[in-house]
Amino acid sequence: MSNGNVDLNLIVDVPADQVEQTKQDFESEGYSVVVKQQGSGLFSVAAAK
Amino acid sequence: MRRFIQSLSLLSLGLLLAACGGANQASIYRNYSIESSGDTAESVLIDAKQRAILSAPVSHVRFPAGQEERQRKVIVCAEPSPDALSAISSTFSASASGIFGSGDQVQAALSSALSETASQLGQRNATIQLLRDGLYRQCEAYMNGLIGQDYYEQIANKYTNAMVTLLAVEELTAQGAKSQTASAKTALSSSTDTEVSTPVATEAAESEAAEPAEGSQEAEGQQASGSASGSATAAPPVINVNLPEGGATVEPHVSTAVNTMVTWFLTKDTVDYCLRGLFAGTENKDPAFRAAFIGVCTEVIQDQMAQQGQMASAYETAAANTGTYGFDDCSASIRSFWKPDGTNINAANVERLQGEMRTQGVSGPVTMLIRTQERAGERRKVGAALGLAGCI
Repeated sequence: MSNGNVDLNLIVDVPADQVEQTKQDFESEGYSVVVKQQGSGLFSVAAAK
Repeated sequence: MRRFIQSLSLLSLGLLLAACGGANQASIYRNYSIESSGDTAESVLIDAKQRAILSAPVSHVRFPAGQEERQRKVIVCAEPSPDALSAISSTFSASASGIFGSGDQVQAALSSALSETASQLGQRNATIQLLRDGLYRQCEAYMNGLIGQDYYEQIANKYTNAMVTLLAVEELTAQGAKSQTASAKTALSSSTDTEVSTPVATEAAESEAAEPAEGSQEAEGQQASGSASGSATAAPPVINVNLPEGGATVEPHVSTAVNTMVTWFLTKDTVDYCLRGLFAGTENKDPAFRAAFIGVCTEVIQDQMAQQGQMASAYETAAANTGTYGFDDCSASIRSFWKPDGTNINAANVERLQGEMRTQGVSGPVTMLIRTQERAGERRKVGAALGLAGCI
Protein backbone atom coordinates (compact mmCIF):
# COMPACT_ATOMS: atom_id res chain seq x y z
CA MET A 1 0.00 0.00 0.00
CA SER A 2 2.95 2.32 0.43
CA ASN A 3 4.51 4.41 -2.32
CA GLY A 4 1.26 4.53 -4.22
CA ASN A 5 1.17 0.81 -4.93
CA VAL A 6 -2.43 0.40 -3.92
CA ASP A 7 -4.01 -2.70 -5.39
CA LEU A 8 -7.64 -1.84 -5.92
CA ASN A 9 -10.21 -3.95 -7.72
CA LEU A 10 -13.86 -3.30 -8.34
CA ILE A 11 -16.65 -5.47 -9.69
CA VAL A 12 -19.93 -3.76 -10.40
CA ASP A 13 -23.41 -5.15 -11.02
CA VAL A 14 -22.93 -8.14 -8.76
CA PRO A 15 -26.23 -10.00 -8.18
CA ALA A 16 -27.28 -10.22 -4.57
CA ASP A 17 -26.91 -14.00 -4.44
CA GLN A 18 -23.31 -13.77 -5.63
CA VAL A 19 -22.12 -11.03 -3.30
CA GLU A 20 -21.06 -13.19 -0.40
CA GLN A 21 -19.11 -15.68 -2.50
CA THR A 22 -17.40 -12.88 -4.42
CA LYS A 23 -16.48 -11.25 -1.14
CA GLN A 24 -15.08 -14.51 0.20
CA ASP A 25 -13.05 -15.09 -2.95
CA PHE A 26 -11.41 -11.68 -2.64
CA GLU A 27 -10.77 -12.19 1.05
CA SER A 28 -9.16 -15.55 0.44
CA GLU A 29 -6.66 -13.71 -1.76
CA GLY A 30 -5.82 -11.35 1.06
CA TYR A 31 -7.95 -8.36 0.10
CA SER A 32 -10.01 -6.11 2.31
CA VAL A 33 -13.48 -5.92 0.83
CA VAL A 34 -16.15 -3.26 0.79
CA VAL A 35 -19.64 -4.05 -0.48
CA LYS A 36 -22.13 -1.36 -1.40
CA GLN A 37 -25.53 -1.50 -3.00
CA GLN A 38 -25.99 0.38 -6.23
CA GLY A 39 -29.07 2.35 -7.12
CA SER A 40 -30.14 -0.46 -9.44
CA GLY A 41 -30.35 -2.93 -6.58
CA LEU A 42 -27.25 -4.75 -7.70
CA PHE A 43 -24.05 -4.53 -5.68
CA SER A 44 -20.52 -3.28 -6.10
CA VAL A 45 -17.71 -5.20 -4.52
CA ALA A 46 -14.42 -3.38 -4.05
CA ALA A 47 -11.25 -5.03 -2.84
CA ALA A 48 -8.04 -3.38 -1.78
CA LYS A 49 -4.71 -4.41 -0.35
CA MET B 1 -56.67 54.15 16.77
CA ARG B 2 -55.25 54.36 20.31
CA ARG B 3 -56.20 50.78 20.96
CA PHE B 4 -54.55 49.72 17.78
CA ILE B 5 -51.31 51.46 18.79
CA GLN B 6 -51.45 49.81 22.21
CA SER B 7 -51.89 46.42 20.64
CA LEU B 8 -49.11 47.05 18.18
CA SER B 9 -46.74 48.13 20.97
CA LEU B 10 -47.49 45.00 22.93
CA LEU B 11 -46.92 42.91 19.89
CA SER B 12 -43.57 44.57 19.17
CA LEU B 13 -42.42 44.11 22.74
CA GLY B 14 -43.26 40.45 22.60
CA LEU B 15 -41.37 40.00 19.36
CA LEU B 16 -38.30 41.68 20.81
CA LEU B 17 -38.32 39.58 23.96
CA ALA B 18 -38.78 36.38 22.04
CA ALA B 19 -35.92 37.16 19.71
CA CYS B 20 -33.53 38.07 22.53
CA GLY B 21 -34.51 35.10 24.61
CA GLY B 22 -34.10 32.69 21.75
CA ALA B 23 -30.63 33.92 20.90
CA ASN B 24 -29.37 33.72 24.45
CA GLN B 25 -30.68 30.24 25.00
CA ALA B 26 -29.32 28.78 21.82
CA SER B 27 -26.01 30.53 21.31
CA ILE B 28 -22.96 29.53 23.30
CA TYR B 29 -19.84 31.49 22.77
CA ARG B 30 -16.91 31.56 25.07
CA ASN B 31 -13.61 33.36 24.82
CA TYR B 32 -10.65 32.07 26.65
CA SER B 33 -6.94 32.50 26.49
CA ILE B 34 -4.74 29.72 25.20
CA GLU B 35 -1.63 31.33 26.57
CA SER B 36 0.48 29.11 28.72
CA SER B 37 -0.28 29.43 32.39
CA GLY B 38 2.76 27.91 33.93
CA ASP B 39 2.44 24.20 34.52
CA THR B 40 -1.33 24.26 34.53
CA ALA B 41 -3.08 22.77 31.54
CA GLU B 42 -6.22 24.47 30.38
CA SER B 43 -9.40 22.98 29.00
CA VAL B 44 -12.91 24.00 28.19
CA LEU B 45 -16.26 22.35 28.74
CA ILE B 46 -18.15 21.17 25.73
CA ASP B 47 -21.63 20.19 24.73
CA ALA B 48 -23.15 19.34 21.40
CA LYS B 49 -22.73 22.88 20.13
CA GLN B 50 -19.24 23.57 21.41
CA ARG B 51 -15.94 22.17 20.33
CA ALA B 52 -13.00 21.77 22.61
CA ILE B 53 -9.79 23.64 22.05
CA LEU B 54 -7.31 22.15 24.43
CA SER B 55 -4.00 23.70 25.28
CA ALA B 56 -1.27 22.54 27.59
CA PRO B 57 2.35 23.29 28.35
CA VAL B 58 4.73 20.99 26.50
CA SER B 59 7.43 20.50 29.09
CA HIS B 60 7.00 16.73 28.79
CA VAL B 61 7.53 16.76 25.05
CA ARG B 62 10.99 15.92 23.88
CA PHE B 63 12.57 18.58 21.74
CA PRO B 64 15.88 18.32 19.93
CA ALA B 65 18.74 19.24 22.20
CA GLY B 66 19.59 22.89 22.02
CA GLN B 67 16.34 23.90 20.31
CA GLU B 68 14.12 24.14 23.34
CA GLU B 69 13.98 27.90 23.21
CA ARG B 70 12.83 27.90 19.60
CA GLN B 71 9.88 25.59 20.15
CA ARG B 72 6.36 26.58 21.08
CA LYS B 73 5.59 26.39 24.72
CA VAL B 74 1.98 25.34 24.30
CA ILE B 75 0.35 22.54 22.34
CA VAL B 76 -3.11 23.34 21.04
CA CYS B 77 -5.51 20.64 19.87
CA ALA B 78 -8.71 21.86 18.25
CA GLU B 79 -11.51 19.35 18.16
CA PRO B 80 -12.94 18.76 14.68
CA SER B 81 -15.87 20.93 13.80
CA PRO B 82 -19.30 19.39 14.28
CA ASP B 83 -21.04 17.80 11.36
CA ALA B 84 -24.45 18.72 12.65
CA LEU B 85 -25.84 22.14 12.18
CA SER B 86 -27.68 23.51 15.14
CA ALA B 87 -30.65 25.09 13.58
CA ILE B 88 -32.70 27.39 15.63
CA SER B 89 -36.19 28.04 14.57
CA SER B 90 -38.17 30.38 16.57
CA THR B 91 -41.82 30.54 15.88
CA PHE B 92 -43.72 33.34 17.17
CA SER B 93 -47.34 33.96 17.12
CA ALA B 94 -48.91 36.88 18.64
CA SER B 95 -52.22 38.30 19.05
CA ALA B 96 -53.43 40.89 21.41
CA SER B 97 -55.96 39.97 23.99
CA GLY B 98 -57.54 42.49 26.22
CA ILE B 99 -60.60 44.43 26.84
CA PHE B 100 -60.46 48.04 26.03
CA GLY B 101 -63.65 49.98 26.60
CA SER B 102 -67.18 48.95 26.04
CA GLY B 103 -67.38 45.64 24.40
CA ASP B 104 -64.43 46.15 22.11
CA GLN B 105 -62.19 43.24 22.35
CA VAL B 106 -58.75 42.83 21.08
CA GLN B 107 -57.26 39.55 21.76
CA ALA B 108 -53.65 39.61 22.64
CA ALA B 109 -51.75 36.49 23.16
CA LEU B 110 -48.09 36.17 22.99
CA SER B 111 -46.45 32.90 22.49
CA SER B 112 -43.00 32.01 21.57
CA ALA B 113 -41.82 28.62 20.72
CA LEU B 114 -38.23 27.84 20.44
CA SER B 115 -37.27 24.69 18.81
CA GLU B 116 -33.87 23.43 18.09
CA THR B 117 -33.18 20.86 15.52
CA ALA B 118 -30.07 19.33 14.21
CA SER B 119 -29.51 18.63 10.61
CA GLN B 120 -26.60 16.99 8.95
CA LEU B 121 -24.23 19.35 7.19
CA GLY B 122 -22.77 16.83 4.85
CA GLN B 123 -22.04 13.21 4.24
CA ARG B 124 -19.59 11.86 6.75
CA ASN B 125 -17.69 9.02 5.20
CA ALA B 126 -15.03 6.79 6.67
CA THR B 127 -12.19 8.88 5.30
CA ILE B 128 -13.49 12.06 6.86
CA GLN B 129 -14.12 10.25 10.11
CA LEU B 130 -10.63 8.83 10.11
CA LEU B 131 -8.94 12.12 9.44
CA ARG B 132 -11.13 14.15 11.80
CA ASP B 133 -11.01 11.99 14.85
CA GLY B 134 -7.76 10.18 14.30
CA LEU B 135 -5.62 13.25 13.92
CA TYR B 136 -7.34 14.93 16.83
CA ARG B 137 -6.72 11.95 19.08
CA GLN B 138 -3.09 11.89 18.01
CA CYS B 139 -2.81 15.52 19.00
CA GLU B 140 -4.28 14.65 22.37
CA ALA B 141 -1.82 11.80 22.79
CA TYR B 142 1.02 14.13 21.89
CA MET B 143 -0.27 16.72 24.31
CA ASN B 144 -0.53 14.12 27.05
CA GLY B 145 3.00 12.95 26.50
CA LEU B 146 2.01 9.46 25.39
CA ILE B 147 3.83 9.88 22.10
CA GLY B 148 6.78 12.05 21.20
CA GLN B 149 7.31 14.53 18.42
CA ASP B 150 9.05 12.10 16.10
CA TYR B 151 6.42 9.41 16.46
CA TYR B 152 3.65 11.97 16.02
CA GLU B 153 5.16 13.00 12.70
CA GLN B 154 5.46 9.38 11.60
CA ILE B 155 1.82 8.67 12.34
CA ALA B 156 0.70 11.82 10.58
CA ASN B 157 2.64 10.84 7.48
CA LYS B 158 1.09 7.37 7.44
CA TYR B 159 -2.35 8.89 7.20
CA THR B 160 -1.70 9.63 3.57
CA ASN B 161 -1.70 5.96 2.62
CA ALA B 162 -4.79 5.21 4.65
CA MET B 163 -6.59 8.18 3.18
CA VAL B 164 -5.71 7.23 -0.39
CA THR B 165 -6.99 3.69 0.00
CA LEU B 166 -10.16 4.56 1.85
CA LEU B 167 -11.08 7.46 -0.37
CA ALA B 168 -10.50 5.52 -3.55
CA VAL B 169 -12.56 2.58 -2.33
CA GLU B 170 -15.36 4.83 -1.17
CA GLU B 171 -15.55 6.81 -4.35
CA LEU B 172 -15.39 3.75 -6.52
CA THR B 173 -18.08 1.97 -4.59
CA ALA B 174 -20.48 4.84 -4.17
CA GLN B 175 -23.99 4.75 -5.53
CA GLY B 176 -23.75 4.53 -9.27
CA ALA B 177 -20.35 2.98 -9.27
CA LYS B 178 -19.86 3.22 -12.99
CA SER B 179 -20.16 6.97 -13.06
CA GLN B 180 -17.82 7.15 -10.10
CA THR B 181 -15.29 5.12 -12.03
CA ALA B 182 -15.54 7.58 -14.87
CA SER B 183 -14.87 10.37 -12.40
CA ALA B 184 -11.87 8.50 -11.14
CA LYS B 185 -10.47 8.25 -14.61
CA THR B 186 -11.01 11.95 -15.09
CA ALA B 187 -9.19 12.64 -11.87
CA LEU B 188 -6.34 10.46 -13.04
CA SER B 189 -6.07 12.37 -16.27
CA SER B 190 -6.17 15.67 -14.47
CA SER B 191 -3.49 14.66 -12.01
CA THR B 192 -1.27 13.36 -14.73
CA ASP B 193 -1.52 16.62 -16.59
CA THR B 194 -0.26 18.52 -13.60
CA GLU B 195 2.79 16.38 -13.15
CA VAL B 196 5.21 18.69 -14.85
CA SER B 197 7.98 17.84 -12.47
CA THR B 198 11.31 19.28 -13.40
CA PRO B 199 14.12 18.09 -11.15
CA VAL B 200 16.43 20.71 -12.61
CA ALA B 201 14.03 23.45 -11.63
CA THR B 202 13.70 22.08 -8.13
CA GLU B 203 17.40 21.92 -7.64
CA ALA B 204 17.59 25.50 -8.78
CA ALA B 205 15.02 26.53 -6.22
CA GLU B 206 16.79 24.64 -3.48
CA SER B 207 20.05 26.21 -4.49
CA GLU B 208 18.44 29.61 -4.30
CA ALA B 209 17.06 28.74 -0.93
CA ALA B 210 20.39 27.61 0.36
CA GLU B 211 22.37 30.47 -1.06
CA PRO B 212 20.44 33.70 -1.15
CA ALA B 213 22.05 36.15 -3.51
CA GLU B 214 23.99 38.85 -1.81
CA GLY B 215 23.50 42.33 -3.09
CA SER B 216 21.30 41.07 -5.89
CA GLN B 217 19.63 43.72 -7.95
CA GLU B 218 15.94 44.16 -7.81
CA ALA B 219 14.01 43.66 -10.99
CA GLU B 220 11.82 46.71 -11.09
CA GLY B 221 8.16 45.99 -11.58
CA GLN B 222 8.68 42.40 -12.53
CA GLN B 223 5.47 40.49 -12.25
CA ALA B 224 6.15 37.01 -10.95
CA SER B 225 2.97 35.57 -12.35
CA GLY B 226 4.49 32.70 -14.22
CA SER B 227 6.11 34.91 -16.79
CA ALA B 228 9.18 35.68 -14.77
CA SER B 229 12.33 34.26 -16.22
CA GLY B 230 13.72 31.21 -14.51
CA SER B 231 15.42 27.91 -14.96
CA ALA B 232 12.23 25.84 -15.18
CA THR B 233 12.42 23.55 -18.18
CA ALA B 234 8.74 22.58 -18.38
CA ALA B 235 6.17 24.95 -19.78
CA PRO B 236 4.39 26.56 -16.83
CA PRO B 237 0.65 26.05 -16.68
CA VAL B 238 -1.56 29.05 -17.28
CA ILE B 239 -2.21 30.46 -13.85
CA ASN B 240 -3.30 33.83 -12.64
CA VAL B 241 -1.43 34.43 -9.45
CA ASN B 242 -2.69 37.13 -7.15
CA LEU B 243 0.11 39.49 -6.37
CA PRO B 244 0.00 42.18 -3.71
CA GLU B 245 -1.68 45.39 -4.76
CA GLY B 246 0.51 48.08 -6.21
CA GLY B 247 2.68 45.76 -8.20
CA ALA B 248 5.61 43.75 -7.02
CA THR B 249 9.31 44.19 -6.84
CA VAL B 250 11.23 40.99 -6.64
CA GLU B 251 14.85 40.10 -6.76
CA PRO B 252 16.05 37.79 -9.55
CA HIS B 253 16.60 34.79 -7.36
CA VAL B 254 13.15 35.24 -5.86
CA SER B 255 11.50 35.46 -9.26
CA THR B 256 13.35 32.32 -10.29
CA ALA B 257 12.05 30.49 -7.28
CA VAL B 258 8.54 31.80 -7.84
CA ASN B 259 8.63 30.67 -11.42
CA THR B 260 9.75 27.27 -10.27
CA MET B 261 6.86 27.10 -7.88
CA VAL B 262 4.42 28.20 -10.53
CA THR B 263 5.75 25.45 -12.74
CA TRP B 264 5.55 22.88 -10.03
CA PHE B 265 2.56 23.89 -8.06
CA LEU B 266 -0.78 22.09 -8.05
CA THR B 267 -3.08 24.57 -6.44
CA LYS B 268 -3.37 28.27 -6.93
CA ASP B 269 -3.93 28.84 -3.25
CA THR B 270 -0.57 27.36 -2.41
CA VAL B 271 1.25 29.71 -4.71
CA ASP B 272 -0.74 32.69 -3.46
CA TYR B 273 0.14 31.78 0.08
CA CYS B 274 3.80 31.42 -0.70
CA LEU B 275 3.91 34.63 -2.68
CA ARG B 276 2.43 36.59 0.15
CA GLY B 277 5.05 35.18 2.44
CA LEU B 278 7.76 36.07 -0.02
CA PHE B 279 6.62 39.63 -0.35
CA ALA B 280 6.24 39.94 3.37
CA GLY B 281 9.88 38.92 3.51
CA THR B 282 10.75 41.44 0.82
CA GLU B 283 9.26 44.18 2.90
CA ASN B 284 11.47 43.49 5.84
CA LYS B 285 14.51 42.99 3.60
CA ASP B 286 15.49 39.81 5.31
CA PRO B 287 17.13 37.51 2.73
CA ALA B 288 17.39 34.67 5.22
CA PHE B 289 13.63 34.80 5.76
CA ARG B 290 12.96 34.80 2.05
CA ALA B 291 15.31 31.90 1.46
CA ALA B 292 13.68 29.90 4.22
CA PHE B 293 10.24 30.64 2.91
CA ILE B 294 11.18 29.58 -0.59
CA GLY B 295 12.43 26.30 0.79
CA VAL B 296 9.26 25.72 2.77
CA CYS B 297 7.04 26.54 -0.18
CA THR B 298 8.95 24.18 -2.40
CA GLU B 299 8.57 21.39 0.12
CA VAL B 300 4.85 22.04 0.45
CA ILE B 301 4.40 21.86 -3.27
CA GLN B 302 6.45 18.70 -3.56
CA ASP B 303 4.38 17.10 -0.81
CA GLN B 304 1.21 17.96 -2.65
CA MET B 305 2.55 16.46 -5.81
CA ALA B 306 3.54 13.28 -4.01
CA GLN B 307 0.11 12.93 -2.45
CA GLN B 308 -1.73 13.57 -5.69
CA GLY B 309 0.62 11.18 -7.41
CA GLN B 310 -0.37 8.50 -4.94
CA MET B 311 -4.01 9.23 -5.52
CA ALA B 312 -3.51 9.08 -9.27
CA SER B 313 -1.74 5.76 -8.93
CA ALA B 314 -4.59 4.40 -6.85
CA TYR B 315 -7.15 5.56 -9.37
CA GLU B 316 -5.13 4.20 -12.24
CA THR B 317 -4.90 0.79 -10.66
CA ALA B 318 -8.55 0.82 -9.70
CA ALA B 319 -9.65 1.95 -13.13
CA ALA B 320 -7.60 -0.81 -14.74
CA ASN B 321 -9.08 -3.42 -12.41
CA THR B 322 -12.72 -2.51 -12.76
CA GLY B 323 -15.14 -4.90 -14.33
CA THR B 324 -18.78 -5.84 -14.68
CA TYR B 325 -19.86 -9.03 -13.02
CA GLY B 326 -19.94 -12.05 -15.30
CA PHE B 327 -19.78 -15.70 -14.27
CA ASP B 328 -19.98 -18.42 -16.90
CA ASP B 329 -19.25 -22.15 -17.20
CA CYS B 330 -15.54 -21.47 -17.59
CA SER B 331 -15.67 -19.37 -14.44
CA ALA B 332 -17.21 -22.27 -12.55
CA SER B 333 -14.55 -24.66 -13.85
CA ILE B 334 -11.67 -22.41 -12.88
CA ARG B 335 -13.18 -21.77 -9.47
CA SER B 336 -13.60 -25.51 -8.85
CA PHE B 337 -9.99 -25.97 -9.82
CA TRP B 338 -8.93 -23.08 -7.57
CA LYS B 339 -11.15 -24.02 -4.63
CA PRO B 340 -12.06 -27.70 -4.96
CA ASP B 341 -14.14 -27.71 -1.79
CA GLY B 342 -15.74 -24.39 -2.65
CA THR B 343 -14.07 -22.56 0.22
CA ASN B 344 -10.36 -23.23 0.55
CA ILE B 345 -7.70 -22.58 -2.05
CA ASN B 346 -5.80 -25.64 -3.20
CA ALA B 347 -2.13 -24.77 -2.89
CA ALA B 348 -0.92 -26.89 -5.78
CA ASN B 349 -3.69 -25.82 -8.12
CA VAL B 350 -3.34 -22.13 -7.38
CA GLU B 351 0.32 -22.36 -8.22
CA ARG B 352 -0.52 -23.87 -11.61
CA LEU B 353 -3.31 -21.37 -12.15
CA GLN B 354 -1.20 -18.34 -11.37
CA GLY B 355 1.67 -19.74 -13.42
CA GLU B 356 -0.63 -20.03 -16.40
CA MET B 357 -1.95 -16.53 -15.80
CA ARG B 358 1.59 -15.21 -15.94
CA THR B 359 2.24 -17.17 -19.10
CA GLN B 360 -0.84 -15.68 -20.70
CA GLY B 361 0.05 -12.20 -19.48
CA VAL B 362 -2.96 -12.02 -17.20
CA SER B 363 -2.53 -9.90 -14.09
CA GLY B 364 -4.68 -9.18 -11.07
CA PRO B 365 -6.49 -11.38 -8.59
CA VAL B 366 -8.05 -14.69 -9.55
CA THR B 367 -11.41 -13.35 -8.43
CA MET B 368 -11.36 -10.69 -11.13
CA LEU B 369 -10.40 -13.30 -13.71
CA ILE B 370 -13.31 -15.57 -12.98
CA ARG B 371 -16.00 -13.03 -12.12
CA THR B 372 -15.87 -10.25 -14.71
CA GLN B 373 -17.23 -10.05 -18.23
CA GLU B 374 -14.17 -8.16 -19.41
CA ARG B 375 -11.89 -11.05 -18.53
CA ALA B 376 -13.94 -13.71 -20.37
CA GLY B 377 -11.37 -14.00 -23.15
CA GLU B 378 -8.43 -14.28 -20.79
CA ARG B 379 -10.44 -16.68 -18.68
CA ARG B 380 -10.96 -19.04 -21.58
CA LYS B 381 -7.29 -18.94 -22.54
CA VAL B 382 -6.12 -19.74 -19.04
CA GLY B 383 -8.79 -22.37 -18.48
CA ALA B 384 -8.15 -24.03 -21.83
CA ALA B 385 -4.42 -24.16 -21.13
CA LEU B 386 -5.24 -25.97 -17.90
CA GLY B 387 -7.58 -28.32 -19.75
CA LEU B 388 -10.61 -27.27 -17.78
CA ALA B 389 -14.06 -28.11 -19.05
CA GLY B 390 -16.21 -25.17 -20.01
CA CYS B 391 -13.18 -23.20 -21.17
CA ILE B 392 -12.22 -25.28 -24.19
